[in-house]
Amino acid sequence: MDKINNLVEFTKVSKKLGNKQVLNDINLTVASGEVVGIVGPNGCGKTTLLRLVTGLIYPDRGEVRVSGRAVRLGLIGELPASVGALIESPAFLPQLSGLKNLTILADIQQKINEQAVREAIKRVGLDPDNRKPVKSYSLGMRQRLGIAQAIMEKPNILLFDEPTNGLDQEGKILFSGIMKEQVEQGAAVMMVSHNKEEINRYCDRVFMIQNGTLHPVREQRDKSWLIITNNLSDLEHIYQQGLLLQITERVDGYPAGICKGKWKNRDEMMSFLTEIGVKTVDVREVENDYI
Amino acid sequence: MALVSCVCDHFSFVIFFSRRNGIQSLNVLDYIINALTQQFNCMVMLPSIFLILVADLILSDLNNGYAGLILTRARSRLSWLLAKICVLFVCAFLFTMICTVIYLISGLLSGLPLDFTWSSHSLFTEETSPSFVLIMIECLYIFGLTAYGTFLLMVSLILRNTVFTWGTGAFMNILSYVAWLKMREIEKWFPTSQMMFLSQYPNKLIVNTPGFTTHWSLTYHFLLFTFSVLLGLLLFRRINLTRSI
Ligand SMILES: Nc1ncnc2c1ncn2[C@@H]1O[C@H](COP(=O)(O)OP(=O)(O)OP(=O)(O)O)[C@@H](O)[C@H]1O
Ligand SMILES: [Mg+2]
Repeated sequence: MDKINNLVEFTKVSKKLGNKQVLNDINLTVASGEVVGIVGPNGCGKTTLLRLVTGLIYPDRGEVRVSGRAVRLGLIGELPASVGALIESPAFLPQLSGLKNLTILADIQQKINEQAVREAIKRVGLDPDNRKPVKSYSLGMRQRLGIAQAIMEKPNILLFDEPTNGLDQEGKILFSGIMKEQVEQGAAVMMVSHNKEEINRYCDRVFMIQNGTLHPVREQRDKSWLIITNNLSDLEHIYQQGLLLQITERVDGYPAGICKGKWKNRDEMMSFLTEIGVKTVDVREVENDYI
Repeated sequence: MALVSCVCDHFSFVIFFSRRNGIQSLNVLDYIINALTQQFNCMVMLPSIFLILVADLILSDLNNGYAGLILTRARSRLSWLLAKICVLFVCAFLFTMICTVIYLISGLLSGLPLDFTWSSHSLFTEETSPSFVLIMIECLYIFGLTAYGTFLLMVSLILRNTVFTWGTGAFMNILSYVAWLKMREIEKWFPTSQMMFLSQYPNKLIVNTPGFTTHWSLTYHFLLFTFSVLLGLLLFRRINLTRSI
């Protein structure tokens, strides 16, 4: 069962491009419903890692398994199925409209009809009846079309390389809705971003690539806790511990704040608060705000 | 569309080179056949134009990232490669047809009668009908351009550079031409010579290459094509499908 749950599995993967050893001995699994973030400096191999999942490149050593099947050249150069990817800036056929572009792509697998393509385009806030060619699209519009392209066939695995590149505020909100929806539907998501805030918001686990190897940055998702106290100085005290704390509206007249951290459950949170000498009225786990 | 506009760009060029020295065309059909078997036009000009159109068929997709969109959906690399070869065949077909139509129009414009009688039989055997000759030429063009184009697509996978690929093609075209001019006996081994119906036995050129028949050419195309597809497959299943450097 465990195997099937892990939609993406890297085992000791190494990859050389040109004469640079880009990735070295990478081990990583991404489970269904999980978002894994990849960070690192320019040119460290983040995009290369995503490409290995699509089968556009094959590993030199080690194995990449996608949906339980190894991605390897085989006789005819097999490619994994059910992967939706937005890798670097997407290139569409410039003289065709967005809808036409996506229907051409959808025709390859014939999994979805035009109606579904239209819905995907609407989902990213574009107009499917816009007849203008893609070459007249702005950067953000192209990016939105790229996201629509990645999600339209409802793949099990999603690869996003800087997905919010060029998106405006509305686009980012739409994107976070899409992420939430995809995770709820059980997609495994790998996301590359240079935006710390974004990585923190979406990713359950974060890894950094350094000199070709993968280092965990954060092994689990920070949970958000609503802390309700008797007076503001208690909240202040939490803040002074160097924790991320955001004062919110009063709850039932008591001062309250949201704190993010690694505590696994309420008991752990409570004992931490007692340790630092904060008296609370109530502590509740809250949804990570997605916006 | 791009194909059509490109072909139109080269329109005037083609007409310029299509006039065979010394032979007077009496009607449009003659004119077309003459143009399509004019040695420089047939062995250098038209194949080179065709190569400009198709040399980056695979590389452009790899370089601008469109290949990624396709390949995340394709079942295997092979199916993508085969799809590209089909596109190449369609291009070869359209290219040949468009060339023919261009010659048809330019022939009509220069006032030649639309007539199906035979006036070039000094060059071809009398018993073959002109329409048969034309069909043979068209077939040689279509199969020739497909096979040769496939071969050069594979070269492009090795070189990873459109300009060098086209250069390789142009160089081979010129070799064919030089062989036609100077070393007629080895002509039958060059790729674009195969499209030169006129020099194939039993057509009446003063110098004929022994064993160089239409059948030979079709076999040559077939083998070149098969070889290219196999080579392509071997390469294509292994290479990194990323931007070339
Ligand atoms: N086709 C290629 N041939 C040779 N080297 C390549 C090729 N593609 C990428 N590289 C090299 O591999 C390294 C990793 O590239 P990659 O695109 O994965 O970086 P990245 O982490 O995505 O960077 P960025 O943050 O800029 O997107 C780079 O040093 C690059 O020079
Ligand atoms: Mg990158």
